[in-house]
Amino acid sequence: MLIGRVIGEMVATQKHESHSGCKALIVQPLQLDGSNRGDAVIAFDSVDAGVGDRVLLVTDGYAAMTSLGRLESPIDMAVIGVIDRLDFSLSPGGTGPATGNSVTTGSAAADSGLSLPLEPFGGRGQELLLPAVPVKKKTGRKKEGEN
Amino acid sequence: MYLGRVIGKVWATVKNDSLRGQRLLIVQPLTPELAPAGKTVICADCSGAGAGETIYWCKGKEASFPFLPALVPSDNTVVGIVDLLHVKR
Repeated sequence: MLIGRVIGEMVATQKHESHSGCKALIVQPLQLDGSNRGDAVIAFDSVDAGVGDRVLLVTDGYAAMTSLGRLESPIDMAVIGVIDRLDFSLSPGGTGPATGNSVTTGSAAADSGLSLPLEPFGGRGQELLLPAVPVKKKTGRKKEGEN
Repeated sequence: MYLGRVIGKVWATVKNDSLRGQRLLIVQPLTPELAPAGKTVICADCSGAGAGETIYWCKGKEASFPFLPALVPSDNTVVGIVDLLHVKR
């Protein structure tokens, strides 16, 4: 699943018949700091999201198809939720409590470009996700290699 | 799904039997502003799109679903022709 922002809608008349009745949204995937993550994609809407909303985006076919109730339809992306808020329980370094680290998606937050009061996960995010384990794993692998 | 534009066609005489009769299109991915984005891909087609048309295509296993019950080995398939885009960045 990805976080994204709905930046538009797409209209298509000539399309696969199983797509009829689906609302197609143009979704720009986002990093946690609100910057763009790759190019925008087309996703079908299962939650009545609109332009400007920050949403949850699934990029797996099975998840997308089941969320829309259309199995065996050529759908590989769907919007499955509208994000109200993000909470971070750790600071980016992985130690200590976070400071001022919840983000609300309101109209005010959307207007301000969704800036988080946090360093983005991009550089040090993996340390945050696995604070202690990687060190142990590395030493373990080295020993295995030597043997 | 992804936005793209059909910029050509692939002819292949020797191919998997299941691909017989399928049109293979060369697709240039596009941004919502219709600027080229990334490398071209070859897509099968289930929508009848022609050269120059803006389309959207589906990636992955789902790309073979439009052809069911035939099992077509396609990982990118054009599934619709775009009429309009409303974009508000």
